[in-house]
Parts: sequence; structure tokens; C-alpha cells
Amino acid sequence: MPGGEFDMKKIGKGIALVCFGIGNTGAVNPAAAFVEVLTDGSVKVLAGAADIGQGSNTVLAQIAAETLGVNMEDVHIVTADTSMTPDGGATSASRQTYVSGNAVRLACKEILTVLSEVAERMLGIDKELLAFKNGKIYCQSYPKKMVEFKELVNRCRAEGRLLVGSGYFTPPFTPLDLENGQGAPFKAYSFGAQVAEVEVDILTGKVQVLRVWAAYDVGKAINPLGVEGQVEGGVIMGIGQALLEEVVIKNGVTITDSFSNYLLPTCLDAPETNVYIVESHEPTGPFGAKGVGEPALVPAPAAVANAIADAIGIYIDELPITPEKILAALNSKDNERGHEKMI
Amino acid sequence: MPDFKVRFWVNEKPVAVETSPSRFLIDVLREELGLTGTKKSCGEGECGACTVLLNGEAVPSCIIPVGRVEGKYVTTIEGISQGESTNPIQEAFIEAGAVQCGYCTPGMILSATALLNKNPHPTRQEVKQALSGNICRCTGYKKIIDAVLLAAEKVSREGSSDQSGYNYLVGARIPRVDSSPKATGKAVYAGDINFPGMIYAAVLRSEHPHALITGVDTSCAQKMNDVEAVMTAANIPGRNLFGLIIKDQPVLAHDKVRYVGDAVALVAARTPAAANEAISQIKVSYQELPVLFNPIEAMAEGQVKIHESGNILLHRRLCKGDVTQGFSEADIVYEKRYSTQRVAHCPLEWEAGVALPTLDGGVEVYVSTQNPHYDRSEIAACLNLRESKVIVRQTVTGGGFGVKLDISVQCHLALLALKTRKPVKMVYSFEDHMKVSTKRHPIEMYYKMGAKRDGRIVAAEIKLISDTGAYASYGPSVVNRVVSHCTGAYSIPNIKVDSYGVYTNNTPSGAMRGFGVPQVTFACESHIDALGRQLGIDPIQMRLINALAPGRDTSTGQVLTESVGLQEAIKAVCEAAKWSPTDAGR
Repeated sequence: MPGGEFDMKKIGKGIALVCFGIGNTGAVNPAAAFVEVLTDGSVKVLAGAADIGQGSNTVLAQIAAETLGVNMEDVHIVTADTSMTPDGGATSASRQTYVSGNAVRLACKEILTVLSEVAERMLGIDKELLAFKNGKIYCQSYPKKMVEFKELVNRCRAEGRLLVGSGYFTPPFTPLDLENGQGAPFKAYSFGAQVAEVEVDILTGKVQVLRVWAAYDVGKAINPLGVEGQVEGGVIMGIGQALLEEVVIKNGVTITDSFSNYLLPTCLDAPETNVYIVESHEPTGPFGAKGVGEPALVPAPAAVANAIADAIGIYIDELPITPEKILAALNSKDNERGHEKMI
Repeated sequence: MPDFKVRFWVNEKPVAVETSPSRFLIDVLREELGLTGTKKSCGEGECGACTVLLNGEAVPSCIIPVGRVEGKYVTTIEGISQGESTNPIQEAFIEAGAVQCGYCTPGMILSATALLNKNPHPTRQEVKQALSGNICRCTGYKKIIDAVLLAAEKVSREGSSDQSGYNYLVGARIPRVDSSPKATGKAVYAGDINFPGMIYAAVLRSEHPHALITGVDTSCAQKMNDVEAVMTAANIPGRNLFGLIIKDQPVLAHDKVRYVGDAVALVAARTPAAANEAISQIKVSYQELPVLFNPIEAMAEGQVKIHESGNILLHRRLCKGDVTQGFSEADIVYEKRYSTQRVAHCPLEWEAGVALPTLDGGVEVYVSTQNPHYDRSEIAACLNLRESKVIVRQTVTGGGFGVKLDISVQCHLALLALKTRKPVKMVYSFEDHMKVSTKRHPIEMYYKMGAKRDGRIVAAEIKLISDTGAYASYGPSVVNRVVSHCTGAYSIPNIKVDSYGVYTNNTPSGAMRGFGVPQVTFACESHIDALGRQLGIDPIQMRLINALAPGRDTSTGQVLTESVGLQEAIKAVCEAAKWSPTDAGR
């Protein structure tokens, strides 16, 4: 055999980008939230948004805490229960931070209006000068002039003013023209770039993704730990789609019906992933935030495919890129499938 | 009937359970001992969600017959949480952000516990090896591995954590508000819910990909012991069609079936086994129809119609500038066909729910879902109830990735609960998830692009054909979204796109993380990479030349003005990966 083991392992790097519209394509997609401040100063947030593990409950609680100037431990969030919460729409289209986040922010703003009016009289400070932070309401330029959040809440109640707010938001858009598909179907777009580095064993066709660098413009990372988690998870789901996963149906019958024949990435398939957050402030987003759930995955299979092409000099045009396809491509003189014509 | 008493230790307490010795440990833990922190997923010992410690070793409890644990020590997630508080390993998982949907978390924590007991200072590679039998679909594993290494530090420090009342607001790296119940096994997922007098549902599904139903005979099933209800399409009080965008999918098929997995009849019975037995006794006669599995064939003239409206679900177009003119100006034109596969979502928690009748004649449904308000509208229409009489409560959801945007157990459970006036439960198996639930759209993609010698892409012509399977589901959203996203993150002056969604007799394709965009991005990015290579232009340079930026317009003619951090993102990854546009090594 010519050469050593190292000649059998080809290293390659590939890049892919994403521009992803947040929310539904050229359609209304509203979400609503209710917020109530209780007499002990705790805050109840009722939002329709379903947290399916991506972390929206945490993000929405952060947005409520920040808007009302209270601590996270003061916020109690209830979501996705039709007996209590208003409609939040689907947890899809990377939309809940942006859409439900705005709904929660707007509901809190309604309450802030009342709190500000009462605080203005209580403290004798113009409400424009008030700051809400750390459970205190104070004069921005003279913080010693302040009232505790809980005290203000009770003052409101004593005046017969209950602190309830509701908010809803739907992203602004211009519908797509049905003839030419032109329009402004989204207000906010999230952007990202991923670079993957792979090692291809040209004897076996096996691919190992060694490293991935992923940078995302999410507008504002409400919770950077959550953003990283979404991107790291998106990268590996993309690797599964690029290299391993395929539902096989024969004559209508699903053949891949067990974990032994439908392969999911394990921790041994996980590359060293490095996530970088870019913040660009989306003016219509809550605190400038957009979304990341789907953009996290979108470029991952493409980055891996381009890295493989860089390693072996052949673009495989069909996912998943299995060892069999790599070996077949390496063995055939040209990889053209012979049908590069209009479908 | 119980014929055997198994004695063993669970979480340092002795237990004696009367049961068959061949029953799996997980079922004894969950059903007899109420320890629902141990999660059920693949049922084949492959995914690790059900991991417990058996005499200190991490084992999958879903394949261990309880007879084999006689006299042994079993530790579950409940046993390593000291009372209400978390131990250092659980704290490390919470702090590191290693908990997302939480369904794999108890198993991960137990595998980590077994490792750290043996090897208090593992390397990153040793952690990976120890966790290689535990699948996680959410996190990408990085934060889980970080958590185990952090736990090793915490254990060796033996100090209590310095959680100084977290005052984290917007922009702070904050542990999830729901991670503590998930890390201690206390979070209640749909499959963990039990009510007194609860019965179990099963669904008879079509074995034919395309056939007319000529008769359904439920008489044998009706008479069986323990059977509480048998229902067919004839028993549906309201609308027997659902679908978020187009109502084209039957709750129970009545005239024809369009894929292997179409629901035909329902049974509710006192045990899951009795429900399944009754399902096997229902006889359905079919008259088979011609089948279509290839969308390109299905969209041709003269084929059998899967739906009366025809086999093309949707055709969307985009036309920007003048592609003919654009190609005539190009120095190079490159065309190629790409295709992508059908992918399964595989959240570790499969579809599940419990429905109960309410006192006002309505119904209450606990379900693992991504959109309870949509579920409510479908249940109300199906049961002919006012929406205000239907309550849908999302249970802690073990991932979704799009599959739980669709109706799975919701209408079936609500129908049976109203009919029997009892709580009814159904939990999908992995096989159900694979055969019945929606999948990612496979897409056939034709790409043609023209570029100038300097790398500027001047024209793109793209045709996309998506296999939407037997029903629309979120197909229209996919067909629609890929039109505007198939030229990726690039500003190209002349574009023509035709995007088709086509019905076939395959499993329905629906929403999956990205709505078709990962597929078209594979094609678009491969194409631009290859185009650059032919022009002798570095991949990074090729992208910087064509990428969207403030002042440039998208494929829909939308000029982007603000919050466009793409060029910064490209620069950030290239710098980190030490890949500069002038890299000559390529």
C-alpha cells in the first residue's frame, strides 16, 4: 500500500451561510401574553408560547423581569395552557423570542404605565425620569429618591388600581405577490455562518466532523447560554442530516423503525463546536432580539458537505453523504449523475 | 397474573414487587413504584433515556427483566437527589446549560454518576466514551460534557454551590427556569401522568399505501373483555378532517387510505395490552388503488389522484429581474441537480397525551405539543364542541423539532374520553413515531447559476419539487418558505424559482426545524462553492462578494437596511477557524 495511514485521511474545510426570516412567511402570526403583579411583588406571566426545551420560558421570564425592573426569582411563568394563557401561536419558525417576547414586553409596559403614574405622585418625580431596576423605582439622576417595587405595588392596590397587562404582537410584513414572489415577507432576519472541518477516511468512506465554528447574528442574545445551546444542538442535528439519518420507505412501508437502523448522532459524533454571537439590534425585536432555533441547523449539513468536497475534491449531490456514496464517488471517474437537466 | 415476588433495593430501600420476572425493570419502576423520573424512549436499550444504576453500573432499564435484579441495588434519578435538593452533578448540569428538553437528562446524570464514582477526574474523551450510550437530540452534547467535567470539579471540592440569588436579566447567561425539576426527575411529561380509573387507547392503522375502504367490522373487538369503546369514522360527532393549513387529513379514514399509517379505528381498553389485542380483531376490507411514491411521477398528467384536488398540493413562483438577460451576461453558467432525504425528528419523548371528560360536557387534554391553541381548535371541530369547552394543557415536552406542531394523539384521545367518560392515555412507540408522524420533506432540486469572472452571481434559475407525502400538514409552509430562501444568504439580481409540493403515498412530510431551508441551503451552498472553485475564487471570497449586507436586496426584492450582521458573522468564523480569504492552500 503506498503511503502511510495519514494519506488515507483527508482533511477539508467548508463554509455555509444562512439568512432566515423569523416568523411565518408573508403572513400574520400573532402571539399574546397576560401579566399580573401580585401584592407581594411577585409577577405572574401567562403566555401562550410552548417551551419544548428550547428555553422560551426562561427568555420570556427574563424579558418580564427586565421590563418591570424586578429580579428573575420574582417572576413566575405559566405557558401553553388554553384554560389560562392566551394564544401564542406555534413554537415554530424561530418566532417565540421575537413574537411572544414582544407580547410579554408589551403586557409589562401596560403595567409600567400605571406604576409610573403612581410613582410619579408618590416620589414627586417626573415619570420620564424614573428608573425601574432591581426591585426599586428611583430617580435616574438621584437614586436615593426611591420606592421599593412591592411598596409601590401595594400603593397602587390601595388606590384601587390592579396591575394587570395584556400584550400581543405580530411581525410587520408586505405579502408576497403570487405571480412574482416579490415583497417583504419578514421584518426580522437572523444570519449565521458555519465553518466545518472534517476528516474523510478514503479507504472506508467514513467522515468525522472534527471542528465547527458557528457565528450567529441573533440581534440580541437574551440568554447567551440558551443561544449557544440552540446552535450546538443545531450543528449536531445538521451533522446527522448530512451523514447519518435517512428514513427509508419501501412500497409505503417504513423500513427504518428502530434505533439500530435509524442512526442518530451520539456524543462520539460531536465535533468541537465553537459558537460566536454577533449582536446587531433588530429595532422591532424585544431588546433587539430576533431568533435562532432554526438558523442554528440550516447551514450545518451544507458546511459539512462543502468540507467533504474540499477533502476529496468531489461534490456529493445527495444527502445523506454515507461512506458508500463517498467510496462510489471516489471510484467513479466523474461524479456527474448524468441528469443535470431541468427536472 | 402476578406469579412471582421480586425483591430488590431501590434507592437504598428494600422493595418487593409481585410481578412476572420477565417484565422490564423500567415498567416496574414507573408503574409499580411510581418512579417516573426514569424515562421511556426507544425501548431497545439504545438511547439511554431509561438509564439507572444497577449495583453502581449504568444500565438501560428498558431491556432488563426485573427477575434479573433480584437482591440487587437499583438507583434511579429520584435516589440521587437528596430530598428536594440537587446534588453536585445535577447542579453542574443546570449551571452548564446541559438541560434543554430534559428527557435525556436523568439518564445522562446517572451515566455521569457511574463514571464519576469510578473515575473522579475523567478526561473529556473519557466522558464522551461514558456517555456514548445516551442520546440527546437537543444540546449537541457539548454542554453535557462540560457539565460532567464541572461536576467532577464540584465533587472534588465538596463545597456547596455559591448560588447567590440569581439576579440575571436580559443578556445574562442564565440557567433555565425549568432545569431543576428536569434534572431531578420531577418534571411531569405526558407519559408520566396517571389518573384513577384511567384507560388506554390504541389505533388501527392502514397497512396499505393507497386503497378504498370497503368495510370495517368491529363486532369482535366490541365484545372483548376490558374493551371500553371502539370507534370508527361513523362515530365522529364533528368534522372528520384536520390540518393546520389545508384540512385534508381524516381523524379516522372513512372512504380511503392514502399511506401506511392512516388511522382507521380506535379502541379504549382497561390495559394497553387489551387495547392492542382488540385492534388486532378489527377487520377492514380494502380495494387497493395504484400507488405513487415518487413526486416527479405523481405530478405528471394522467396519474391516479391521491386527493380530489389533484396531486400538486401547491406551486409557488418567484421572478426577480430577468434571468434570461442575467445568464446572457454571465461568464460561466453551472447547473446541477441535488436531492435530500426524508428525516425523522426523533425528539426522545414520542407523541403522548391523556384526555379527560370535564363536568361541563367538554374535554381536557394534557399533551406533549408545540401549539396547544391550534390543538384546541382541531379537537373542538372534531368533537363538535365550542372551543371554550376544550382545554389543552401542554405537558413538559421532551423536544419537538416540528413534529409536535401536528395533530397526533389529541383528537383520538378526546373522542375516546368523551365517549367513555373516563381518562384515556396514549403514548406513541418509536415505531409509531417513525411510521405515522410527519417527516422532513425530501426535495429534488435543480440549480442553475451564472456568474461573472469576478465572482458576482448574476442569475439563478431553480426548480424545487418537495415530496409532501399523503397529506398537506405544513407542506404549504415549506413550499412557500423555500421559494424566498433557496438563494440563501445572497443578493442575486436575476432569479426565477418554481417550487412544487406534491402529494404521494409516502408518510406525510410536515414541519421540521427550518421548513425546507436546510435542504435548499445544502444545494445552494454546494452550488456556490463549486461555482467559486470553477472560477478559481476562494469560498470565503465568493461569499463575501455575494452575501447580503445593508443596502442589498433579498430574492423577494426586500432591501435590508438594519440588523444585518452577516458579514460580521462570516468574519468571526473565518478568524476563529484561521481561514482567510487569501488562503492559497486550496
